[in-house]
Amino acid sequence: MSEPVLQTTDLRRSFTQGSVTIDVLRGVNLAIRAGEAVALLGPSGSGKSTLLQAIGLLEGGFEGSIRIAGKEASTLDDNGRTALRRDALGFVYQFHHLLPDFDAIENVVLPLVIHGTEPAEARVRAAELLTRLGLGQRLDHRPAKLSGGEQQRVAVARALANRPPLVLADEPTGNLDEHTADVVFAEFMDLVRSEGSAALVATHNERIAAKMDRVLRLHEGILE
Amino acid sequence: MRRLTPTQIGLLVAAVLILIFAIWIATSTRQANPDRLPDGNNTATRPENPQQTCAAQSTYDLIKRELFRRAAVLRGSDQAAYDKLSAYAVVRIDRPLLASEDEGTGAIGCTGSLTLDLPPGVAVVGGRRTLAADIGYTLQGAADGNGQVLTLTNADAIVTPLATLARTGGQALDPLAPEPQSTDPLAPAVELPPAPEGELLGAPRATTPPRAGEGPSFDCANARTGGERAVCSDAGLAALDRQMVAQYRQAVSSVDRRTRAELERSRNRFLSFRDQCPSDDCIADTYRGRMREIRDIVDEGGR
Repeated sequence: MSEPVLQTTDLRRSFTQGSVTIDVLRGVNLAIRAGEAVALLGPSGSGKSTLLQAIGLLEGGFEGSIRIAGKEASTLDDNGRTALRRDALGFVYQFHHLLPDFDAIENVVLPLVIHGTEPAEARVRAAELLTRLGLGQRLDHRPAKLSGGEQQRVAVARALANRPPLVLADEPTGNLDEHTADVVFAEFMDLVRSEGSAALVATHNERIAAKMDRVLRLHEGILE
Repeated sequence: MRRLTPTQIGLLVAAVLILIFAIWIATSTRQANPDRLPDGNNTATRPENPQQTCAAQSTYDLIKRELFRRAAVLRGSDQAAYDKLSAYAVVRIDRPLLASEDEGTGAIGCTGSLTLDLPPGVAVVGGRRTLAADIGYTLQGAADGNGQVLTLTNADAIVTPLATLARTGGQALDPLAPEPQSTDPLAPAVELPPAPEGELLGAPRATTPPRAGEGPSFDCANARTGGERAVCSDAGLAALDRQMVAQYRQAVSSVDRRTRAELERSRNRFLSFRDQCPSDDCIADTYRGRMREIRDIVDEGGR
């Protein structure tokens, strides 16, 4: 059996403020197989976002092991973490975080070119993704000219552009109305599956979680 | 006690002088950490008003190096090329403000609207040579007391596109690698764009002086800088100058106030680049880049 695309072992994270120490993650063990879609459910404050920050190699200060696409991340330096993030991960946040001065297609082209794709080829790939998401007529629109749902679709295309082994999503439709959220999430999952990526989606929405292959519940820093 | 002879006294004085000279050499050539501000900006000698540190040119230079360093790390290659290009780029910060000050650690937090202007011959995705973002930056004295440590926040809007930096060549962006043959990123190793049809841009430039009536847009009797003198000495460069100035005047007369201000501001940078050029080819490339820049600014203003 092939190695999981993500595996954490006894992952811990504490925050200290003054004399008070709060254990946000208290030994998280999880494994996600290639192509598997997993929901991370939990109420606000349960540690979902902290766990995604750790797995996304966005912050330090963690204890334990994180293996992503076969590489142990906990021993990497800053440059190594940046490279692993670039090569193995895609991100979708609650807020799109698109670059406001770049139009829709350029926002998707950026990670492709950084990853080494020729610019012309990158434009073709970006246009294809955005067209699949219904934005074929919006390629040259800047984020400010797009609706919330359209902005999030661009963010989805950007996250999947390099066909990363693992996509991390933190409340990816939490900023949208219910109908738009359902539509965008369905498109997101279609793309994840068709591109062969695995996904770990943090949400407090049971309805969204039910559409995934597996549901993990995080409670007070421990997976139940 | 035996008295010293004049020769012995002379030797003693010479030895003392050599010792003093050796100590001076050892201290003055100490290798500085390139990621730190010069000693004049150490915590101990920092301007009493931290606001001045937020707006200091040395701070801007530190920020610029960090932006290029991060972009090279994100790209995963071409660190040397990024280091070279960093020296030719220009960072400016509008409204640099002191946001916080930690009395205990001496750290100061600043915010500002940063604009990074790239040199001619290179661009990021979309052909852009100007990147902007509202950033935060924190400066804190290094633990060993030598220089300051910089932390940048909200810089992804610059770092991410900067990681796609490429030489300009026609419509496509070519990867920075392989390394340029020249160490000067503005030198002819930079690939020049093809000339638009019917224009003088791509024609081999004459090395003969301009004939009467074919001079540049300005009076060569007043030429002062190296760039101006070069343009006055070469018919091809003079033609490029006339063409660029005609485009500039037409652009300035047809855009809104904000775009006009951007055109005027970027003009000074262009002149600075042109006057630093080591060769006529570099000057020609700088003019071509300026014409693309004028077009981009006008297009940008029209969106």
